[in-house]
Amino acid sequence: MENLVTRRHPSHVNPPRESSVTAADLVMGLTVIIPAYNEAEFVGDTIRSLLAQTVPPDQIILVDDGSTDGTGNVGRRAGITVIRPPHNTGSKAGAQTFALPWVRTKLVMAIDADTTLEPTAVERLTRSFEDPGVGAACGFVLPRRIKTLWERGRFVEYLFAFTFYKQVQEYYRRPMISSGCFSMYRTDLMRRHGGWPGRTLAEDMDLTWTFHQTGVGVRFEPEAVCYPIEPYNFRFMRRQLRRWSHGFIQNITLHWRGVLTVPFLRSAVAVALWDAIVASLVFLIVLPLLIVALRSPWLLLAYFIDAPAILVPLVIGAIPRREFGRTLASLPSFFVLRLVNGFYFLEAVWSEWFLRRSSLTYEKGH
Amino acid sequence: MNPGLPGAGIGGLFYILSALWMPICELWRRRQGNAPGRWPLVARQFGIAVGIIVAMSGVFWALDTVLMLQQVAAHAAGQMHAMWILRASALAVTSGVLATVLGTVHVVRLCLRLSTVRHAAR
Repeated sequence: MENLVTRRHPSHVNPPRESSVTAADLVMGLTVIIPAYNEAEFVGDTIRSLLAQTVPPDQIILVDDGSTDGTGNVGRRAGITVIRPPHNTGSKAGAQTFALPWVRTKLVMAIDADTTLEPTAVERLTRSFEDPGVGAACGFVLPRRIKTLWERGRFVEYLFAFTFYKQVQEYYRRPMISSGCFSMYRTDLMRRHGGWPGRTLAEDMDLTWTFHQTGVGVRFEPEAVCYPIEPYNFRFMRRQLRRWSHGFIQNITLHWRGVLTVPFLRSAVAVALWDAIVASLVFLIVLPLLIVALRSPWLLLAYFIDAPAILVPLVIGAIPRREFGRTLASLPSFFVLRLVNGFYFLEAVWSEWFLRRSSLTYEKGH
Repeated sequence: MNPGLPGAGIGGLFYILSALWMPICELWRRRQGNAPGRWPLVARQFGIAVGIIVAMSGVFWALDTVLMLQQVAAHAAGQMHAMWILRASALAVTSGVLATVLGTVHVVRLCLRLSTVRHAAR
């Protein structure tokens, strides 16, 4: 077995000489990149969780992307490498790509500045790379805080998707997205691709679909669990939903020809697109019209008719985590989130495909 | 639904069918000698798919029995019509739409390939 995380290097800043570094020059080990813009409140937890890993990374690089709240100082106090671009790069992808020349290890991991990990997450995710055909791997995502309506809705959504959909995708070797909040890659592969692409608002989906099209393996490791801070109010949730919806549409526009050549992924993407459009139209337009036209309040049941189907994977996912009660209590929030999500998805379709207004302004929304 | 993408109908059906297909796929891979032994994953996802089918069957049984037969049918024919719409859209229409979407993907793929071959031939 190739031990990819063995050597530990001191945290220091090496001058980037990307052009002179070849794949052969990379040493065994893992470098973690944390892109951060005004994340002083959360980034300390992220760094501590990385340092507490059963197999700690060899180097941690915090990209202080023009913060004004002392984010960089948190990293310096923790003794990790802190780099600062001359000006704000404008996106998470930009900040991560800025740090790539500093990476000297064969594996590189990107983690959001508000995300913590299970202590074994890095070790488990690294195992995916024992297969030389694998270029990217991602883990199970669950919100760290589950208090507000939005956090609860997202908790249900994640638990359902990562317990059922994502594991089916993994079986067919086609995870639809290697989540940007916590993913690991081969460094030479990332360099060949010029880093994280900034041409869409969903750089993680862009990268994943590019890998699938070029025959690079992407894996989902359900035992590697991460806990990001999810949007806790409507303002943040709105930004995230807009970014994700526009990102999905932009990636379909960009990759549709290529995705058609990838078995399973093409079906999964087509079904997801159809389902997202139709479900949004039905929930926001068709059902309200039917309820009024037929004067039948029973039709309101249609908003929740799939609740038992959603509950099955939720129960399977919640019981081992001993979160059954919290899951049940959070289920109503999910239906609210789905409705709101439907609105922003339709807005993205309208804006990107009908008005031809592509949104590329990266709004931070956790 | 995938995180951040709303959904309710054919997405669920697609993943249920994909999960139900996994044991057959795994047996085939094993026969070919390239199965990495993922039976626990297969069994778990197959179980979830069966569980969802049972749960939704229960929902329709409950709707039929409790709402339609006892209440709706007794009071309003219009509501009975509404229940029919619910059932039909959830089963027949969803299956038909899924087949159409997947079929369309393959037709578009074949058209693109044909177009590429023709272009190369010129």
